[in-house]
Parts: sequence; structure tokens; C-alpha cells
Amino acid sequence: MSTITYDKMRKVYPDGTEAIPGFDLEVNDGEFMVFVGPSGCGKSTALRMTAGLEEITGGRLLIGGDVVNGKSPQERDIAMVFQDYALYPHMTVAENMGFALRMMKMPKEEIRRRVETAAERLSLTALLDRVPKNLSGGQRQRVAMGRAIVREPQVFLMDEPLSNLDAKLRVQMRAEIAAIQHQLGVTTLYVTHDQVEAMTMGDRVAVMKNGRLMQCASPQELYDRPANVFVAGFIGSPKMNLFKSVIDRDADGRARIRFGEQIVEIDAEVVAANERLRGYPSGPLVVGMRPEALSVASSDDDPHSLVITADVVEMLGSETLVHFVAPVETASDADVRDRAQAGDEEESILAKAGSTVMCARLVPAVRVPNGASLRLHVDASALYFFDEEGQAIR
Amino acid sequence: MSEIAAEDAAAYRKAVIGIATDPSKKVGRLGGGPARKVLDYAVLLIVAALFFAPIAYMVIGSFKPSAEVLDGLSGFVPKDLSLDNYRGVFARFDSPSTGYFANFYLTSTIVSVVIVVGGLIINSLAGYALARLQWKGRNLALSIVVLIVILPFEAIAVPLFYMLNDYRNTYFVQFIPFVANAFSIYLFYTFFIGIPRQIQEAARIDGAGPWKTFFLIIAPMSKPVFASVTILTFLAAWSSFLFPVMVVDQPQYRPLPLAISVFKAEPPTDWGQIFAFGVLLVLPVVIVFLLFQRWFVQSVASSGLKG
Amino acid sequence: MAATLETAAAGSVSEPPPEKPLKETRSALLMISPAMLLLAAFVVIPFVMAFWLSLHNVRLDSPRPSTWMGLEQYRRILFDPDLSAVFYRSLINNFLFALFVVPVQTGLALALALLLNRPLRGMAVFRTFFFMPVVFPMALVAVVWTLIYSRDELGMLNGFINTVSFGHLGPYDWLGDPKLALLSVAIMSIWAGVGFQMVIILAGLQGIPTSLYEAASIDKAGKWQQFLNVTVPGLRNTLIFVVMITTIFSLRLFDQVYIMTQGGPDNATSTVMYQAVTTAFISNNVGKGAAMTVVFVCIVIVITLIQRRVLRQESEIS
Repeated sequence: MSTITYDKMRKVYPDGTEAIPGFDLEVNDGEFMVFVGPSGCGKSTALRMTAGLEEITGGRLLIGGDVVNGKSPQERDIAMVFQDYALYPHMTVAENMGFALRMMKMPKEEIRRRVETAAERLSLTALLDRVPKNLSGGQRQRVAMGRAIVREPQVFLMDEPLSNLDAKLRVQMRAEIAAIQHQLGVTTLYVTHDQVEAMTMGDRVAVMKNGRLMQCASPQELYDRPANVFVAGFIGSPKMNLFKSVIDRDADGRARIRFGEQIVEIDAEVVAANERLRGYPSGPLVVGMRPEALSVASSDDDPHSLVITADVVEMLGSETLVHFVAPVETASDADVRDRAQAGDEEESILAKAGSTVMCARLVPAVRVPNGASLRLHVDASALYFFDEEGQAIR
Repeated sequence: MSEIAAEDAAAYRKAVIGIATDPSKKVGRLGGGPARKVLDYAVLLIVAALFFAPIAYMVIGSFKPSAEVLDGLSGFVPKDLSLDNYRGVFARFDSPSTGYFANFYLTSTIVSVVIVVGGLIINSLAGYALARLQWKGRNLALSIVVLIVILPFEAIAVPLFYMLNDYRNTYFVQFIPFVANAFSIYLFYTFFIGIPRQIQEAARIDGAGPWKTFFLIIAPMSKPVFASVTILTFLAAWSSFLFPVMVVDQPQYRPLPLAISVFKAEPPTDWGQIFAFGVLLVLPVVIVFLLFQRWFVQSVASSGLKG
Repeated sequence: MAATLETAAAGSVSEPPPEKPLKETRSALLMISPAMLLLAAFVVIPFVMAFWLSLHNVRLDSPRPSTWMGLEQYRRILFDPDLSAVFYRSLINNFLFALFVVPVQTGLALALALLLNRPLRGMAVFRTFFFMPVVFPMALVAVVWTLIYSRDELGMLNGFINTVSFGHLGPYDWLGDPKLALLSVAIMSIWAGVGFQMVIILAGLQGIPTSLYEAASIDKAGKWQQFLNVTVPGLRNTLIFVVMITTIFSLRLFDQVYIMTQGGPDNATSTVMYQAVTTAFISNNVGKGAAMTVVFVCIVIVITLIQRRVLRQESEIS
């Protein structure tokens, strides 16, 4: 059983910076676990601690049930795929893949067999005698994977292996890696900053921020039920519109949330279905609206609607994205804004104090000129609520 | 300033600046028509000829009878060429008191080879330990190495002479102070630092310890720096003069540079033979230089850029 | 039972076992020790010893032990009216030599590098020619140039001047005339060393992006202006480096002097190192020789520091 257990794992650097205050997680045997988060969140550090490339300052790390804190990388029976592939430039593909097995003093026949099997699986057989500088980026990436596969280790560790590939290749390799992992059934830890990769590849995804685990769940669960504002704003593209608001409770179970000067009604059934919201007193909270939750209102009397002024309209053919400035204060987590997505720059350019740039995702048939006024229907049952500490209200 | 130097300096400046400020040429550093090209080549040829003159003088003179060598400019004229001087060199050094020419060569060779090969091994290992391994005292060791790089050899020549006085007239005394070389260590260090850390980490994960990583991964990847260090070290070792002057006074262990200075100083001065000696002395280095020109120039230039 | 289990569980969150870097330390020390031991033995210890020697009266192969002299050696070489003259003359010669060689050799190297920095065919051949003297052992260079500098009309240089000036400019005693000797040594040294500097400057030149020149020419800058505003600033660090190492090399002057002039005539070409070595080795006064090298090192350090200060400041201001 090659499970991985993180038991209050800590990392403090010699100069005192606490990179990871305490990390608790159980990775199941054969699971594809993705660590995702903005840069500096500690995901690579956690991976390298698992590999044995960084010291573990406190807590325990168990692989396959054994405490491995003091063990060298080889003793931990792990294999790693690096972001820059780290292929040995003076060795052929076959020698690169066989090097670790040589270190383990495996008989030559066995090395050859394993290398050839892995090469087959990765379509590298024709390239076995080439040196890395004569390979394309995608081929090198596969050699890096092959090097890990031949080890037949307990755990695969992958550190952003696709970030150096172009977009198209990335999509293709994503599917290949996921398929290989399924076939081999090896427990895999995969680090990425790209939440799309995380969502498409992982059995479970661990979202990290500042060295802390914010939520670990299946992709769908992260999307449907984010545990806090950070995860809500991180997962999903375009990202969720999050804003500070005030909720007013009615005696008959309905509620209203403020959107600047406007009000959106929430039906009693919706309130009743949310356990914590039922008892939540009137007062400030954070509301999240996914762009998908907005559509063009059919009538002006819609109580679940907002009027907005379209700022930038992007017609993508498959959908229309309407960016608008809303007279509300944003509540999106500061770290989320560090994500390298174009939409974030709009915030800094267009947003003034006390207002937020938001996005609505509408059907392609919608034609909205810039600057036009538009009434959007809000699917109130698809709203997310968070308390003042950013924790989900459900 | 001597006339020659002044003339040359003026000519160079005119060549460079004169061409540079000609308004009829196209603007742009790389522009210029065929007239300019001819001018460039002409200047280069003249300068190169002047530059090469002393070398030509020596080479041609080594094949001429000695009387005709010291003959003003006609020392350049290749006539009456023969190998007499070369034969004469071997004939002249034919006894234990004069030393045997073959011994001079042998000494230079042995000393240089030991310095180069020994140096490659221990200096590269030291450079690797400094560049890539974590250990206490690493920073201190690195500072010491850098300080020694700055220290000129002359500062320790006299004490070294005193220390090794009992070992005079041996091969040992000529190579042992020079095998470990702070500059070589520094060259290796800067190169190894440039090797991506991930390669070393991959080796670690593959189960290679520091020694295996060095010999199987790092060293094979580092051919450029090994070539550079070999060339620079060989050049310095073969040319070594100051220290041998102090520690060698018997012909049997005399290296070539020292031998030729003794030869020149002892009357009668047979210039033809001296030049022949010189050609034989410089031949290995010139051959190595011509063969590995690109490495040579590259290693000199890059050791400068890193400074 | 549960309490014990809990406490057991709590207690098992122990501190991780000691880290593996110990293993790496051992390998690192093993790897570096041969070099470090040799450096300690043959560089560090002699360096320290120089000070010790300079404070004693040391003579080799002498049955008597060395006697303590304190700073007497220094007094003699620096202040004694009879003995210090030679030392100061040597020091002055070193400075004169450096003062001449550094700018001229650097300027020449720059000129040659500029000449070679053209996309013409055969540049590599010319580069070989200019670099070749660097490869020659200095001892050999000195021997050959001794003949070139020969004082009668048959000497190569005299013959050349004679021909070029149609007999008007007479033979010069390059190495025997106290006024000319140091200059002759300097010119020869420049010839031997300029290729080295040239190659470094050439590399620096080729590191200046052509786009800068293109932008300058679009801004209507002429060639000379391009040289001043693009080439020179781009070469600043390279030139600084070249100047500094040339200075240090020129202060170490020994080989040529030993072979060509033996410090003469009348100490016109004597240098600090020449004096130090001959004092220790020929006159068998090791203590005095050591004192000279100590003074020499101090001067080199001071000059290096001053140079660094001055040159770094300039580059910071720019």
C-alpha cells in the first residue's frame, strides 16, 4: 500500500521564515493528488519535502506506512519528474532512463527490459539512442516520465512538468499523463499553478495558500462546495465574482442581499436549504456569484436581477463575456489576484476604490454594445455565501 | 616614446578613427563599401606583419647560419637554410655539465603533465565541493580560495624557496607547489554553479551519491571547463620561469625556459642555435594552440568576462 | 486504555531523526581536502612565513641559526641611505613601467579588437596572429628580443629603423642606455601581452547588441558618436577588468628583466621582484628578500583597492 501521510508537517527555513506551518493530509493508494495554488503557496516545497530534497523541520511524513523523515530520496522509493526535465545531457535516452536502475545495481538484462517497456508505453522506442539536445520539448518531457516509470516506485512526484510546453502540447500531455497514471495505478503527487490542469487531472485536488491547506476534495466538490473565499475565487475560470454585502432577513424566511444600491431577493426555499444560512443573523457577509450564474433577465420586474453597465464585451463565439464595474467592494482573496490571468489586470486598471470588476458569462446570441445598460438575472440558488472570516456558509 | 611605437600608435588611431569619421561612408557600424574593405585588410595585414615579425625572425633565423642571423634586416631573408642549428643544439648539450637537451624536454614535460593532470583532478573536485555540496565551512573555504586567487605568486616565491630548499634540483619541487591552483578551482566553481540544480537533484533521486554524481554526471557534462583549465594550466606550467630560477641550478632537472636563458647567457652566444632551441621550446604550445584555438581564445575571454 | 493510547499517540509525534547532510559533509571534505591541504602548505604557510622571515636574518646553508632582527630589514630597505636607493629605484621603475604599459597596452588592445570586430573573412586568422605571442613563454620572448634589441647596426630593430629612415636614425643601445632600457622592456612586454587583452575586449565588444548601434544610427549618430555612446559604455566593465589585471601583471615584472638586463644598466630596469629574488637567492639574504616581497604585497593590495574604489565609483555613477 503506497499511501502518503502528512502528519503536522512543518517547514521552517534557517532564516526563520515559516514556509509551512502545519500540513495534514492523507493521500490514498493509487490516487492522483494535485497540489495547486498561487506561486509561493508552498506546493513545490511540500513536494520537495516529500521527495527528500528539502529537510522536514517538524511533524512526520509517512510513505507506505513508514516514517521517512530522515531517509534519502532513494530510500524513499520515489521517482520525480522535474519542471525542466533535468535530463542528463551527455547520455542517450536509454541511458537516462536506465541510470537510476544502474545505481540500484540491477542486472543489465532487467534494466534493458524495463527501459524498453517504458519506451513502448511512451512512444519513445525510436528515440532510445538520441541525446536530449536532439529531442523536442514534448519528447524530452516523455523521457523524463520514462525515467520515473522504469523505477516502478511507490510514489510519482511531478513538479509542474507541463509548464514548459506550448498550450496545444500541454492539453495532449495532460491526457497522456492521466492515462498512464491510471494504467500503472501508482500514487501520484502533481504540483501545478494552473487550476485547469488541476481540475482535469486530479482524483482529488489540494488547494494551498501560504503553506496552508485550504481545502482538499474532488474537483467537482471544489467547484460546487468551496470551503472558503480563497478556494471559491481560485477555482473556476473566469473566476467567481465575490463581493461584500449585507443580508437582510425577513420574518417569512426570505432574504435580501444588497448589491450597491440594488437588491437581489432570495427565495425562502433557497434559504431553508442552506443549513447555516437559516440561522445566520442579518448583517454583513460575502457573496459569490459565478459568471455562469448570470443570464439576461427576461423582464424588468425580475426580483432576482441586477442592472449593470457593460464595460468590456468579449464575444468568443461559444459564449459572450460581459465585464462590468459593480459598485460593491470586492472580497476576493488578495492572493487570488496574483493568478496570472488577464482578467486580473482589468481590476487594477478599471476598478476604483469601492468598486469591483465582475464578469458575466452569457449565451452567444447576446449582443451587448460597450457601455450599454443590461439587466442580468441572478440564479439565487447558485449563490455562495461566506462569513466574515471567509468560511463558507452552508 | 620610441619612434616605432609612436608611429604605430598614430597609424592605428588613424585607421580606426579615420575610417570611423568618414562621412561618405554609410551610417551604421556595419556599413561600408568595398574601398573600406580593402583599407581594412591593408591595415590588418600591415599590423599583423609587424606583429609577427619577431616570431618570423626567430623561426627563419633558426634555419640560417648564425653569422647571418645578426645581420640587420637581412636576418629575415630566407637563404642558406639548413638544419645545422638544430643539430648543433643537440650536439652542444651533450654532457652532464651542460645538460642533455632531451633532459630539458623531459623535465618540462614531466613537470607540466603532473601539474595539469594532478590539477584537473584535485581542483575540479574542490570546485565541485564548493559549488554544489552543502557543508559547514563552505563559505569560509570559498573566501580563502578567492583571496588566494588575488594573491600574486611573487608574494610567496621567496618563502617557498626557503621552505623547499632541501628539495632543490628535483622534479618534485617544480610541480608540488603548483598542482593545487586557486584560479583553476575558481574556474571550476563558476562553471559547476552554472549547471542546473535540478540535474543534481535528479541524480540524487536516482540514487547517486556525491562521488558518483560528480564522476558520472557532472564531469562528463563539463568538457568546456576541463578543456579551458587544461589549456591555461599547461601554458603556465610550460612557461614557468621564476620559481625554477630559484630552485634549480643543476642541468639535469632544468626545464626548457630556464635552459634557454642559461644558454643565452653563456658565451659564446650562438644565435642560430639559440633560435633553434627556442623553436623546439615553443613547438608543443604552438601546436596545442593551433589545434585548440577556439577553446584557447574562448577560455581566455571567458576567464576575463567572469572577472 | 484510551488515555494511554492517546498519550502514546501524542508522544509518537517525535522530532524527526537527524538529517542526512552529515553524509554530504564527509564527501565534501574528502573532495576538497587534497587541494586545500596543498594550498595550505604551499600558499598559506609561505604567505605567513614571509612575515616571519622578514623579521629575521636568514641565510641558507648556514650553520648558525637565524637571528631576530625585528623591523631592521624594513628599515634597511626603506630608510637606510645606502641600501634603500636600489629599492626605491626598483619601486619607481615598477610604477613607471605600469604607468606606460597599462594605458598603451590597453589602448592597443582596444584598437586591435575594433579592427578585428568586422564581419570580414579571415578575421580568425588575424586573431591567431595577434594572440600567438601570448602563448610564448616570456623567457623565450626575452631571449629573442635581446637579439632584436641588439645595439649595433646589425640588430634587427636598428636595421629596420636604419632602412626606414634611410640611414638617418642611428643605431640605438636599446638595452644598454639607461634612458631607453625600461622603455624597451616595456615595448616588448606590450607586444607579448596585448593579444590576451585584445581577446577579452573582443569578447566584450561582441557582447554589445547590434540593436544598440542600429538604434543609434536611426537617431542619426555618426560613427565616432556611436563609438563614444554605445561602444565605450558597453565596454566599461570589460575595460575595467582589463586595466586591473594589466596593472597587477605589470607590477610583477621579473622574467624579462632577469634575462635581458639583469636589472641594469645602473638599476634602470630593476624591479621589486627582481631585487627580492636576487637578494634572497643570489646574495643569500633571505630575510631581506622576504621583507621586500612583503612590502610589495602591501603595495599591490593598496593599489588594487584604490583601483577598485575609483573604477567602481565611476561605473556606479554611470
